[in-house]
Parts: sequence; structure tokens; C-alpha cells
Amino acid sequence: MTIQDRPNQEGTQFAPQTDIIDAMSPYTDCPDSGLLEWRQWTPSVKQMRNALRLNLITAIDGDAADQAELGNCPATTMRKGMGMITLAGLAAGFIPFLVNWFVAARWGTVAPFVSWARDANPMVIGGWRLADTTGTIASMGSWLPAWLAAGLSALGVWISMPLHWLAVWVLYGLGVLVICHILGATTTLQRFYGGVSYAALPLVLLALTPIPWIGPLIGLVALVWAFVIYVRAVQVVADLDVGRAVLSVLLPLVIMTFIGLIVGLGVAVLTLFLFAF
Amino acid sequence: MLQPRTYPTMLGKALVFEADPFIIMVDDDDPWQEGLFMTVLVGLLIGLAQWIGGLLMTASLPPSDAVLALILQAWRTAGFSPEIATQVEGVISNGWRWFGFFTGYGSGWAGLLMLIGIPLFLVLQWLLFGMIGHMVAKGMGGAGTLNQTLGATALVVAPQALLLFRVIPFVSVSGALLFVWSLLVAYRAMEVAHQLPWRRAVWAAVIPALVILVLVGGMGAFVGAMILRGI
Repeated sequence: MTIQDRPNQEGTQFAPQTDIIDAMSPYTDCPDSGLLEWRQWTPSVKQMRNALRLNLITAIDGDAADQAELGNCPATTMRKGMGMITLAGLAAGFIPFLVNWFVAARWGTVAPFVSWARDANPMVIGGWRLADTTGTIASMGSWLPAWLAAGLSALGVWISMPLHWLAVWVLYGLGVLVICHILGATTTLQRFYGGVSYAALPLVLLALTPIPWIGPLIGLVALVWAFVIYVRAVQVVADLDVGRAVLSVLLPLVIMTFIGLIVGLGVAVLTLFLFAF
Repeated sequence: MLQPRTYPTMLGKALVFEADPFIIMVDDDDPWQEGLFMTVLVGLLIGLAQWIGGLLMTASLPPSDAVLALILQAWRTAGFSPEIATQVEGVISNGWRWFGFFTGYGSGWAGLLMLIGIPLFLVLQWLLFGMIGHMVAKGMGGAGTLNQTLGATALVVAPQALLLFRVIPFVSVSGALLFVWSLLVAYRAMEVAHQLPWRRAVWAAVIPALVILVLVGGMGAFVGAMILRGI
């Protein structure tokens, strides 16, 4: 089935509207078993498997059986996408959580101090070696027992992971969506965010990146896999050809890199100016 | 009528741009009262979460004063001229105080100020957004009343609920995420409350957000200036 052949998702596209609330609320008549129902928060395993096999049309819109069951209701919702990203983020962060807890407890401090001490290792300001100070702070002890402080901090770092993924999903997604619309796409926020959320699935493999030698390779494979799924998802939800889909996914990256360079340059010039005078 | 039991569901649905909660708020018999109560309640919960998270962070780290003393002592070994060293020491001390205030590290009972500050900030942001957004939407042919706009835009607080995770110390929530997600929820609110086509709804959401961004940016610059001047 090609993108053009797939069933029309009536009510999920932007169109000239007379009754805007009906037109933009495709889920109002869909079964809703409440926010606490597990199935409301993740796509089915079958859909996720299809996404990982790059069969994004079936993953996003469901197969014939799903469509018969759901009627005009979407098989992939933004709510399901959000749940899937959160779960994937938690899964990717679980092993690092255990490692962080173990390492921080061995150092007798909190997880961020361990990474700061490592990051600060080569940094020197005048005669001040930052690693010495971080090391001293780390050895000062806390009111809570070290293992508990280490566990709490590792938990915080772990919980932050899906929150960072959600940030990328929303912020980067908005950039892609704007470019998609400029390139002539017609889609809704919900359909777009729901569709591209499948790109989070391969990123679970990032949990394996600390493994020496093979870890970085697995990380690279995960990123490429996620990129391909993202492009395919954009193609499906925005009805764009491959070229425009790739362009809409890459352009926000280029723009963000350019802005980052300008800001970085500005900060560097300002710092030089402050220290020079 | 105030219905706090439905708030988690409404905020959850608003977060993923489903239209139902916006319609419910617009059709409420007292949208602005419902909105005010919802915003204050979410603000109080965030303040409480932040306070508890701050206490746990304080208990997990060495005493704040001792850490500051160590940093200042280490800074003196950097070997800069006395003038620069003294100036930077002031900046470090003030920055540390503000850091403690915002994260709750070492702030103790003062952290309870967040219980007042956060709801107040959220209410001011909501009122400012609702009023400016209403004027812009009306100018673009919107059909909603101010009361309905305030009801719908109260749901802009939904993404802020992610800050409840800060009850766990060291959890970080991106400010950019909260801003952009709130902006998208606001767009949906304007679209529903005023029955605007999407392009006009975008402007009705972006213009008030830019005004708030400039004001918050100004406040941030003010705090930054105070830190640099050693207040």
C-alpha cells in the first residue's frame, strides 16, 4: 500500500472549516476508556513492530483489522505517542540509572557530582583546578546516607531522561511541522506528533552505548534507524514525497546549528571583551 | 461550578491538544472562576513539589554554606588580580543565593515562598495571556467572550504540571519545552474559544506569548543585573 492509497483519515486534516470544533476534534466520538487505561497511552505491540520494520503506514493508521475496529478514530494518537516516548525514555535510562546509583554510592556522593568531577577533570582557571574542588565537595558528605543520596540523585537523572526526550519531540517536532507546512503539507498537530513519536523506539538502544567498542556503534545504528523512521513518519502524516520529507527533517537541524553557532560566537566575543577590559 | 476532580483528566487531554477540555471550559457556567481555581491549585501543587524536592536535594548534598565557602576559597587560588577576584567573588556569592532560591538547595523554610510565588506567577501569566490574546482574537474576528477566553486559556497551565516531577531532586524540566508546549496549548485554546481558523489562532496565541516572553526576559535580565551588581 502506498501513501496515496491508504484510507482517508477523515476529520484529521486541516481543511476549510465551517464548524471548527467538530472538524478539529476527531477524537470526540472515539471510545475513551479514561486516562488510567493502559491502552490509551501506548500503541499496540503490533504497531510498534511495524514502525521498527519501517512500515509506518500500517503503524500509524493501523492495519485492516484495526481500521475495521476503530472506524474513523485514529490508530495512533498524540497521547499514545507521549506514553510511548516516556516508556522508551525510561527503558533507555534504566541501566544507566543502576550504573549511576552504584558509581555515585561508591564515590559517596550524588550522581551529578560524579559526572561534574569527570567533566571538570581537564578544566583549569588560572591556578584553579576545577576537578580538585569538585572532588572535595563530593567527599564532604551529606545529611542522608550516601547510598540513599546517590539513589535519589540517580533517580532524578533517570526521570529527566524521558522529559528530555519529550522536549526534543515537542520542540524539534514543531520546527519540522512548520517546514512541512511551508512545503505544502496538510496535517494536524495531534496526527503529526502521534506519527513521529515512533522514532523514539530505536533510541532504547542508546542504553547500550556505555559498552566499550560496540556501544558507540549501536548508538549510531539507533540514531540512523530513528532518523529513517522519523522521515517515513513525516512522509505518512504530512503526505510529502521523500525529498521534501528529508528536507523538512534536516532543515530545523541546520537552522538550530546555525543559531547555536551565532549564540556561541556571541558569548565567546562577550567573554573575551569582559576579560580584556 | 468548580470541579477539581476532573482537573487531572482535563489537563491530561489539554496536554495532547484534545478539544474536549477546551469546550468544557468554554461552556462552563463560570469559566474564569474555574480557570482561576485550576491555575492556583496547579501552582500550589508545583510549589509544594518544588519545596519537598528542595529539601530532599539539601539533604542529599553537603551544606550549602560550606560548599560556597569552598568554591570561594578555591577561586582565590586562581591567581587573578585582587580587583577582578573580589568582583567575581560577589557574583559567585549572589549567583549561589539565587541558585538556592530557585532550586530550594539550602533555602530551608524560605523555600515555602514558592507556595505563594509560583501560583501568583501562573495567575499573572494566565490573566495577561488571556486578556492580550482575547484582544488579538477579537481583532481577527473571534467569536468568544473574555470570560470564555480566560476559561480556555487556563488550560495553558497543563504543561507546567510536568514540574511536579521536581518533587524528586535533580529532575530537570526544560524551560523551552514548557514555553513551547504552553504556546501550542494556547493556540488550541484560542482556536476553540474563538472558533478561529488555524492561521488566525496562531497569531492570537503567539502575540501574547511574545509579550510575556519579553516581560519574563526583562525580569531575568533584572535578576542577572542584580547578581552582577552584588545585590
